[in-house]
Order: sequence, then C-alpha cells, then structure tokens
Amino acid sequence: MNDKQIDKLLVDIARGDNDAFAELYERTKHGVFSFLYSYLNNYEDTEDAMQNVYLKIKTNIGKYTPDTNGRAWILQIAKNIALNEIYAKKRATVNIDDVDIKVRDSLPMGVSQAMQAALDEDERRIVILHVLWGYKHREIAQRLGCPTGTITSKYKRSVQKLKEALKEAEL
Amino acid sequence: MKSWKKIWMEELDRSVPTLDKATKDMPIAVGAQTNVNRDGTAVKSKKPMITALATVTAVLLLGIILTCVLVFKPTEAIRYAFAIEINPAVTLTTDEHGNVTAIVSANSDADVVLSDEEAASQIGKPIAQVAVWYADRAAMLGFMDLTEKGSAVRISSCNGSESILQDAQTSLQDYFVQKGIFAVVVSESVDIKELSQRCGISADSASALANAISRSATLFNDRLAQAAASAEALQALYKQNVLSSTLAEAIKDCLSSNIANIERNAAELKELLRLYFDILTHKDNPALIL
Repeated sequence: MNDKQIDKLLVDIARGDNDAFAELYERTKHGVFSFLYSYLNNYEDTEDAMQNVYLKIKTNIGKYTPDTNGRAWILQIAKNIALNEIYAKKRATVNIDDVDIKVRDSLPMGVSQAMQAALDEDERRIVILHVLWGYKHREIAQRLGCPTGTITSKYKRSVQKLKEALKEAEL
Repeated sequence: MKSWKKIWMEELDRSVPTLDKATKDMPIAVGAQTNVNRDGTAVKSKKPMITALATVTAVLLLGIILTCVLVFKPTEAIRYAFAIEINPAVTLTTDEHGNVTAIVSANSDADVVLSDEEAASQIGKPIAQVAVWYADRAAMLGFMDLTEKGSAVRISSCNGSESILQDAQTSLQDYFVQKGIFAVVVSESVDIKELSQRCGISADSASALANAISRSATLFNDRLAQAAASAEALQALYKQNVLSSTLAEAIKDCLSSNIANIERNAAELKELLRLYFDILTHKDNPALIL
C-alpha cells in the first residue's frame, strides 16, 4: 500500500464511490487497528475507535487535498480519535457502586500484545508504520525527524525484542 | 516455522472488526470538496496562515467580531469572524445573524476537540451557544482546569455587531457562573491588524480575514503540514506566531529532514534560525514565563 494507491482511493471516495471506501477499509484496516491499539491498549476501545476513524474519513473526505499524503491524513485522524478517547477517559468520573465488574474482551496473547509488552512507544510506531503502512525507513525517519540509520537500527532491535517476547510466549 | 509477520497478519485477520453497516451505507457528501478540480487534481490555492497560540494557565477567551461585507454578490450575507482562544484555541466565522458558518482550530490541541462528532453539528448554531459548547468540551477533555481561580475571558470586536458580542459574553459568563468557575469576561474593540494577529491569519481587510478563515483547513495539523511543505510558507508562519512546542518541533523536523536542501540554501536557513530565536525570545512567548 503506498501513497498513490491511497490517494486514488480517497479521490474516488470524494466523488461518491462507496466501493472505493470499502476497498480503502480493506487495505488500511490492519494499519489503523494496530495504530489505534498502540494508543488505547484495549480491544473494545480500539474497535469503537476504528469505526469512528472510517466515519470521520467519510464525513471529512471533502477536506482531503489530492496528491498530498493520504496515509498521513488517515493516521492523523486516527491519532486525534485515539487522543480524544484517552482524554475523555481521564476526565470521566465513575461511581464505584454503579460499575458492573466484568472481564473486558481483550486480544488473545499474540504479536499485538507482545508489541505492547516488549516495545516502547517509538519502537511500536516504527514497526507499525513500516510493516503495516508500507513506509520506508527513510520516510519514517523524515516523519519522526531523525536519521534514517537510527530508524533502521531501531527497527532491527524492535524485531529482535519482539521475536524474543514471542518465543517466551511460545507462539 | 511461520514468520512473526505472518503470525501478526493472521492475528489481525481474526481480530480486526468488519466495517460497521451504518458507516458502510452512509452516503458520502459529494460536492462538499472545495479543493479538487473536476479531473480529481488538487486546486492550487494560497495556503492560509495560521496562528498557534501558546497555552497559559489562566483561561483567556477571546472573541472577536468582525463585520465583513463580501462584495462577490450584492446579496452576499455579512460575515463575522471570531477567535476563541481557550487552551485549545479555535477561530470561527458567523453570518450576519451570528450563526456559526465555519470553525477551524488554531493549535494542535484544538484538533482533538474539533475531532469530536458534535463539532460539525455546531455549524449553523448561534455563536453564543457554540462558544459555551466549546468551553464545555475543552473542560471535559481536560484542557481547562475548572477549579482554577482568577481566569480571564476577553471578547473583542472590530466594527462588529454589539448585540452578538453581548450575547456571546453573557452566555459565557452564565456558563462559568453555573459551573462555579472564577472567570471574568471582558470586552474590548480592536483594529483589523490586531484582529488578524489574534486570529492568527494574515489579512489587511475584514473581508479578506473572514474569507481566509472560512477557507482554512479545519485541523491545525493539516495546515501545519501544508505550511511545512515550503520554506516561504514556514517562514511566514513563524512571523505570524508566538512559538509553541508543536511549531518548534515541526520546524525542527523540517530542518533536520532537508539537510541537503538546507546546505544549498544556507541563507534561507540562517533567516529561519534568526526568526526561530526571535520568537523564542519574544516578550509574549509564555514559555519564557513558564
């Protein structure tokens, strides 16, 4: 998935093509989900946030400028929604007597969980951007404002840590 | 043995939800796009200037009413412009009746507030109502400390409607009283130059200012990304702004990612750095106070 492909889909969506919207969802759902999960660390919240992201894409498609960075546009929407959710939770005050204690649905222990446990925020971000969003190391370096070599070595280290964490979990 | 990437993809295939039917079936607002030509290419237009105002502990609410007669058509409605600078800050335009026609964020924190689904539904509502909604939303998201004492709210006008100004002022004052917030709401008049600075948009006339606000991308980060694409735009952005950490980071990113270009354009870089330090040491930069 690259910027040109995403850009073409967004332009088609702006013309009213709902099939393009469905295709955009299929192409980007893994990336959006993992990106949101890295912020929210909770499956239920991530699931809700995902629907909001695509709803926001549809309602704000008029604001997208063609031939610009479509991937970054989608990621910015996702980031805003994730931060919105985090801030809202911080402000929520709950009466303990009104709470039904139940086990929340969560992802079974797997790569996503291992990433949350073994990698820090930057490392998770680099892995998600590279593996799921197709960003090259050079592009990630530009986005994060550091040398390409730094990103490359961080990525390698992150993969190593992830493999060790998965080995411990016997996946 | 499967690679970790393959395992991850299979895991995501199992975990990622399908698209909600309501979202899938919702019609797309075709025709709302103002930045695309018929063939799908981008409309080349001037990128508006924006202001990123630094956050302060005391709440400063600034509403500026601008009377603007748009001369495109004789029947064009009078348009007003507001800048509401709570932490976070937004700028709004209204029609002649004081109903909001556009809201844009003035800093990246405001992006979070305007990402809310209710933000779009504020269009068409009276400015007095929208200002209260915004203040309430900012408080709910933790941007305002409702226990802070001695907060100040300032509403300014420039050739604007006094009645709309008074409505907004009264509504905000009532809201703060209801919430038990110690906030003083003050009103004042400003000229177009001061108004432009407070809105963070370069304009030499009231109509130009209202137009620029209405044409701005809603989210601060979208405008920042657009401005960072060219050194001239970035330079102009600096001239308009009190430096915030977000802007400083954006400029650092821009500088560090274009080393080769910077070496070729050393003079341009020197000027940028000079502006950077000018703003860092500007007397109005709250970072100096904090």
